[in-house]
Amino acid sequence: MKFKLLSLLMLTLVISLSAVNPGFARLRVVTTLPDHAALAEYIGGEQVETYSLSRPLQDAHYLDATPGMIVRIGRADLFIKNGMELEEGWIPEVLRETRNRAVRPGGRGYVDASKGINAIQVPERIHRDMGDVHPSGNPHYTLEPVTSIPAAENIADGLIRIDSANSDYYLENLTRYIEESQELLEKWQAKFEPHQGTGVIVYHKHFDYMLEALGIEVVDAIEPLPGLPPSARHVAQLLSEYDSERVSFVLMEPWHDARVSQRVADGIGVELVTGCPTVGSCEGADSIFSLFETNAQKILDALEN
Amino acid sequence: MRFICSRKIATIALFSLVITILGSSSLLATVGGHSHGQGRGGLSDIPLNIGAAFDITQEIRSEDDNEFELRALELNIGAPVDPYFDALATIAWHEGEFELEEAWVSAVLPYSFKVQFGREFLPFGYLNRVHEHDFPQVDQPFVIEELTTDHGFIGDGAHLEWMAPFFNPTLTVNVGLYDNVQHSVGRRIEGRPAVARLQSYWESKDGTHAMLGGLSYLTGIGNQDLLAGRLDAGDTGNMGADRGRAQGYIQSVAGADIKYRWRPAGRTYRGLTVGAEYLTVDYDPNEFFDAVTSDSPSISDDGFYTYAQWDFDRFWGVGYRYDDSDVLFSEYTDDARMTAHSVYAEWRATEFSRLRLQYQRRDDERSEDEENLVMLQGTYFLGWHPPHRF
Repeated sequence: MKFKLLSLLMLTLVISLSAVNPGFARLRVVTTLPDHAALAEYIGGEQVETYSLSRPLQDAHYLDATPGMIVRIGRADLFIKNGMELEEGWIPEVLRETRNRAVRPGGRGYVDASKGINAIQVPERIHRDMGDVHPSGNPHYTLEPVTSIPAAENIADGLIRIDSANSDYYLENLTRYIEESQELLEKWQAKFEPHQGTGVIVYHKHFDYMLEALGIEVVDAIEPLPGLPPSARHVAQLLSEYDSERVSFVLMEPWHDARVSQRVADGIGVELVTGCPTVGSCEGADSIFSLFETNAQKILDALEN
Repeated sequence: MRFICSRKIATIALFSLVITILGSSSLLATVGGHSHGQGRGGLSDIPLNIGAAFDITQEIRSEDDNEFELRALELNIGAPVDPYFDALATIAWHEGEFELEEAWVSAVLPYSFKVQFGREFLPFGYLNRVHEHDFPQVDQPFVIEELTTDHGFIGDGAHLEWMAPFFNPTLTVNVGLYDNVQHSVGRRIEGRPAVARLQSYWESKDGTHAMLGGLSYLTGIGNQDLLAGRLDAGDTGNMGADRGRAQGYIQSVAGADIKYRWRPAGRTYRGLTVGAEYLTVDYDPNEFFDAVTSDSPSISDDGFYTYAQWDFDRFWGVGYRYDDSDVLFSEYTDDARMTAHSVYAEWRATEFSRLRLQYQRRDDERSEDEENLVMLQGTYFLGWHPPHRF
């Protein structure tokens, strides 16, 4: 009798706690990139708690699978990957090792956020001679919020799949995301109107979705081919081929060699801009929208200086 | 003999099959795609990962005994079988012989358990589960080469792995039981070896620091013959002309390993990696050993390596390794030890190719020789390569 009473009391306590603390039953969402964690937070709101397996300043192309990742993903309700082969060097090992079958491909807790993305730079053929080319196209779509709309939809689908009781809430947030992202892009496209067709040399094709949306033309890359180190010959070729009439700035990610980028920028006589590659990698870039705005503002400053 | 012959034929047939599959246009188009990506297309559109690793080395010795060789060629095939099982097979060519190096199936069990069975690298130590071409330096540390079975412990059997349900630090426990343990060129450890490993991983919140540590223990169950074929002429000092017959019984192998990585601000490329591994092996000498010694002691060997590597960026790294290890049966060679200092540089052209240059000064007390050695290594990957672990 005492045991029954005690059990009843404990049950009451648990139910009360879950009612008082809305975070008690929050869905655990694990993502490969901070960008998708930010997207999931936007769509999932107070219903989710997120964790990104990669840190903001880590290049998600090249990470090692760690036991920490395996345990994290093992406890996830929903797993979201960027897709388009970005994380293929490490995420298959994490998924193979995880005890959580629901977050493996085909499971109800698995989301490939790239499904439906209108990809750019999709190669007609794939060959290793072309460097580190992704068969599905440029995978860095999260740098531009409108391009990322299908990713937001995929995330909303995933959340609804595991938590249909809150589907209206997720769909409302998705609608809000779509509207805000379109408004944001239109606002910045207007600001970039005088700079249409401006040329940029990038280090790696990381910001291309954003640059294309803003009307900036990527004329060349410091990497001779994706993933390859810049040779002295290639750098010399860039310097002989381009001048400040054709190229208005050089854009790089913070994990690449700034000296080479600076040499190219100095040689051409333009400014070197270090972009923010992911959410959380720069001060103030704590959401998909602010990431876009921070990068757009940096570029605008370089163009107007 | 017939068994060995048929096994060789079967392995060559398997190898030919894989080459044929690799050569088929439908798969080549997909397997040859991006980095570690899954192949799609062909074979009824079942995702299948296939790849090959070439490990080519050149050794230049001070004794004018230079050697250029294709040290190893490995073919990897792996994929989920269905929602319940994963499988991977590695066919390796080492020292002129093909062998099925790994062929295992794994399955997830309730309560955070996982089982893996077939032929596998034993969950023992750190380097034992790393393929030779993925070692941090060109050559194997002496303690691995001298006190285990050339390329580590590979066994036919199964192991059970449990991960504790907390994140940071993690805790992983492995226990395994094997019918035999062998090396890819056929050196066998008979009996029923059993292995246990306790491992923990920790990383700082911002990713700047990461550390993996483990304790391993391997022992035999039943009548073991751990050193059969292990000894070559000249290896064992005063054991005399009969040394080729020498057999000992390993009671246990214990190991401790640690790997630490520092990446400023949690970035991907630039930073320091430090690793170390210690092994101790206890033998139970057999009657042969009793005959050549006056006091038939229980003997043991031990040794360790430690290294540090600095990565300047994604492409360049330099490092140093120190080796200090007993030679095999050091009690019979006046406690002879081998020590070595190695410095090396590596250039990672892409994810799929890497060049290394290593200089080593080694001191072998057994022969009282000091040797200078320069090693060059090229490692190349075609198609898929199993992802790396920390």
